[in-house]
Amino acid sequence: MVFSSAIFIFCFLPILFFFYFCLPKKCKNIVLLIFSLIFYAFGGANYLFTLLLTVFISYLGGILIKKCSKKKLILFLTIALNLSFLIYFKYTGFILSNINNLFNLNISIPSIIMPIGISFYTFQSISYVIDVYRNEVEVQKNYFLLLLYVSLFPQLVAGPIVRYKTVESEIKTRKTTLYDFCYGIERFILGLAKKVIIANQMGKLADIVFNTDSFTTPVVWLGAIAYMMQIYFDFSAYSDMAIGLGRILGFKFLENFNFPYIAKSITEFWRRWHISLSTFFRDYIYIPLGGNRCSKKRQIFNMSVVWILTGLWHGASWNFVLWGLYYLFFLILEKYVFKNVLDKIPNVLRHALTLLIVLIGWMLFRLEDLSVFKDVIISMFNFNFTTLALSEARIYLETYYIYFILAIIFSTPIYYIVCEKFKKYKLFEILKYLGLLVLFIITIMFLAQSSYNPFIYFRF
Amino acid sequence: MKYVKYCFCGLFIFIICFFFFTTINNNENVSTLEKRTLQTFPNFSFQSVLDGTYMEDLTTAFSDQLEFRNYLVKGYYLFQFQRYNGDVVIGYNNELYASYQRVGDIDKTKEQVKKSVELINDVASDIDAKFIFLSIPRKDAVEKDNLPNSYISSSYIYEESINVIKENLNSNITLIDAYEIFNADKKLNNNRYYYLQDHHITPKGAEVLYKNIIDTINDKRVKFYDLSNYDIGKTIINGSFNNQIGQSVKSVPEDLYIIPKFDINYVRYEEEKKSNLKVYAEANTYENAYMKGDHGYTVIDTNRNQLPNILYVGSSFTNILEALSIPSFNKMVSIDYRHNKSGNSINYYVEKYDIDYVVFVPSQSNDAFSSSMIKTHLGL
Repeated sequence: MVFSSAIFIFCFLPILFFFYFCLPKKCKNIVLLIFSLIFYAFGGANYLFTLLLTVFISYLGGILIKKCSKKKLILFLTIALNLSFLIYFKYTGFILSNINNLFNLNISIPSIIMPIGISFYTFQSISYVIDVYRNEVEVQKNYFLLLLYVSLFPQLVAGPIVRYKTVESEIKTRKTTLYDFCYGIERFILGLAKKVIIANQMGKLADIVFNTDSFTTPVVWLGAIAYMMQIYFDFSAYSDMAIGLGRILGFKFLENFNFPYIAKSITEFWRRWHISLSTFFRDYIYIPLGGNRCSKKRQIFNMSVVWILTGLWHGASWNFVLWGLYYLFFLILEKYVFKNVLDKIPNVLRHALTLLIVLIGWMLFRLEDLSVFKDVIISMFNFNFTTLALSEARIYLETYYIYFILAIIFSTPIYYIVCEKFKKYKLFEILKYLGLLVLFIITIMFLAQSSYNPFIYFRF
Repeated sequence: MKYVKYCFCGLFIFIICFFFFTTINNNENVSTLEKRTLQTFPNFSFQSVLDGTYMEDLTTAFSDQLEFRNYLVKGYYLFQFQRYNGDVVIGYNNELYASYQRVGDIDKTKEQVKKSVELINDVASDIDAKFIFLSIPRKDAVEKDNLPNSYISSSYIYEESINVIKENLNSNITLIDAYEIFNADKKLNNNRYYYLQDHHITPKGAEVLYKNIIDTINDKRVKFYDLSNYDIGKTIINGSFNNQIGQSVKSVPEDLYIIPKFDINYVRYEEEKKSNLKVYAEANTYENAYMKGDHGYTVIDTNRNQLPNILYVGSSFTNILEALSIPSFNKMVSIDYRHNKSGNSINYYVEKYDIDYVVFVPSQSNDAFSSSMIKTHLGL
C-alpha cells in the first residue's frame, strides 16, 4: 500500500483514525501495531515473517547485550544476522552474477523478491541494537513495543530511518494536540501533492526522454532536470507524508530533507539530502572508523567505505557503486583540494556547479546501463541543436512548464518563509487552509486518473 | 485561530470519510467512459490474503470504485495543462490527436521499415492476386497545420518511412499512400479526412481512398459507388481520443454512418458461420457504424459471381472501406489478425475464396511500420 493510493487515504486512514482516537489510551499502541502490520501485509503478507524475525533478533540482541558480559560478540552477531537477511534478499543476484562474470562460471541466479522496506527496517533494527550497546537508549523489554517502533507504518517502507531514541519516549506515552493534528494534515496534503502532481508528472517526462535509445541535447537536458525533480519530490514527498502522519499519531520524526537543491556545495547537499541515511552512516560507520580524527589517508579510507556502502544501499548494481564513488570524488575535492578556492567563488556559481554535479549524478543513478549513461552525457554536451530537437524540446517545455515552475518553487523554502511571515494574519491562515483543501481535492483528481504511481524509493 | 484549525481538520476528516462510505457501497462492473471492466470488491479468503491477490484486488477495486470517479477524471483533464503533450494532444479548435510521436533515431526507424517491407514482399510474392498496400498516416501527420509549428515529428517520420517503402517495395505490389492523397485532395477540397476526436477516417476520407483503390484495380467489372449513393448520418461522436481524456472536450455532430440508398443483398459469415450482424447501421460510435466493430474473419457474399472478390487484411481502419466495397464486389473477405488466431495465412484465404484483389492496411500508430506490428497484421 502506498500513501498516494485511494485505498490508503479513503479506507485505511478513516478506519485507523476511528479506532486510534476513539479507543482508550491504553489501546493506542495495539491499534497502531495491528494497522502497521496490515499496512505492511498489503505489500506481501508472506514477508511479514522476515520483518517479525528481524525485530525478534534485535529484541533478543538488545536484552542479551544488557545481560551478558560478551556484549561486543552479541552486538556483532545481531548485526550480522540482520544484515544477512538484507544481503540475501537484496544482493544475492548481484553477488552471484559478479562471481559468474569474474570466474566465468554459470551459477544459476535465483529470482528473489525483495521484501518492501527491508533496507529501511534493517537499518532501524541495527541502530536500536547499537544504541543499546552504547547505553544511549534503554533496552526495550516488550517485543511488541520494539515491533511497533520498527513497523510503524508512516516510516516503514520508505523511511525516514527513525532512530529508536527519537521515538523512545513517544512509544511509551504520547498525545496529539490540535496543533499537531493540523500540522500533520498540512504536511500530509503537501507531501501527497508533491508526489502526485509534481513527481509523477516529472516522472512522465523523464520516462519519455530516457526510455528510448536516441538523445538530443535540449531534450536530454529537459529529461535530466525532470528526473532530478522527480527523484527529489518523490522521496521528500514520502518523508513529508510520513512526518505528517507521525505527527497526527503523536510522533515527532526528524526532518529527512532540508531543501537540498539550494545547497552551494556537495558537502552541504548531503547535509540536506536524506538526512536520516547520512546521519546513520556518519554515526554508525564513519565515526566508529575514526571519522575526521585520524590521518588524511585514513579519513579518505573512511569516506570511501561510507560512500561505497551508500551507493550499495541504494541498489544492487554497479552504477550505484559508481554513483557513491562519484560523490566521494567530489567530496574529497571539496574537502582537501578546492576548500579555499570554493569560498572565493560567487554563490550563484557555486550553486550552479553543485546542481550540475548532482544532476549528472542522478543520470548515473538512473541509467543502469553505463553505455547509455555515456550516450546521455555525450548528448548533453555535444550541442546537437537541430530544428527537430529544438521543436521537440519546445513541445515538452510547453507541456510541462507549469510543473517545472512548481518544482522550482517547492524545492526552495519560499512556501515556508511566506507562511511564517504571514501567520499572524488570520485571513492568511484561513486562505492557507482553504488552499490546502482545494489542493487535496485536486490531488484526488490526479489520483483518480492516475495509475502511474510508482514510488522510486520502494526498490530500496 | 483554534476554530479555523478545527474546521480544517474537520473538513479533511469529512472528505476522507465521505469517500470511504460512498465508495464501499459501489460495485460497478464496467466503466463506459473508459470502455473497460472495473475491479469489484473481492471476496475474502485466507488463501487470497496469503498469496497477496486479495490486497491487490482490493487496492484496484478501491481506485476503480471511487465515488465520483468519472467526474474526478474529467476534472483532472480540465485542470490539465498538458495541451500539446499528454495521453492525447489538444490541437487548435479543440481537435484531438494521438500523443506526441518522438522522432528518436531516424536511421534505426528506417532500418525497421526496411525489414517490414521485406516481410510484405515475402507474403505478397506467394499470393496469386493483385496486392495493394494502403498506407494511412496518423492524423497529426496530415493535419499538422492544426498544431503548433514545433509539432512536425509525425509528418517527418511518415515521410522518411514512406520513402523507404517506395524504394524497397517489390514491383508486384501497388502502394497507395493516403498521406499523398489527402494532402493533394486538401488543396482542392475542404474535406475532413479524420474525425475531430478520433483516430479513424471519416466517410469522406474513406471515399477518397476507396476511389484510389478502384482506380488502382482498374477492373471494368467493378463499379465505384461514391457517397452520393448513401444517406449519411450526422451524429455526436464520442471518439476514442475524447474517451481517453474523460470526454472533457465538447463533441459536435459529424458525418458518421452511411446507409445505401440502393438495395444490396448479402449474406454475412463470421468465422464461417452465418451471422445477423449488420454492415451498415445508425450508430454514434465508429465501431457500431461499420461492420459492427472489429472481427477476426468476416465474409460478405453478395452472390454476384460475375464480379471479382476482394480481401482486406488489416485493422479497424478497413471497416469503413469494407462497407464501401461490398456493393462493388462479389465477395468481400476481411481478416484482422489481431483477432484471427486460426493460424491460416493470407494465401489460404486467397485460394479459398478465389480472391482477385488483396488490400493490406496496417494499423496506424506510433510504430505502424515496425516489423513486429507488420508481422502481427500479416498473421506471421
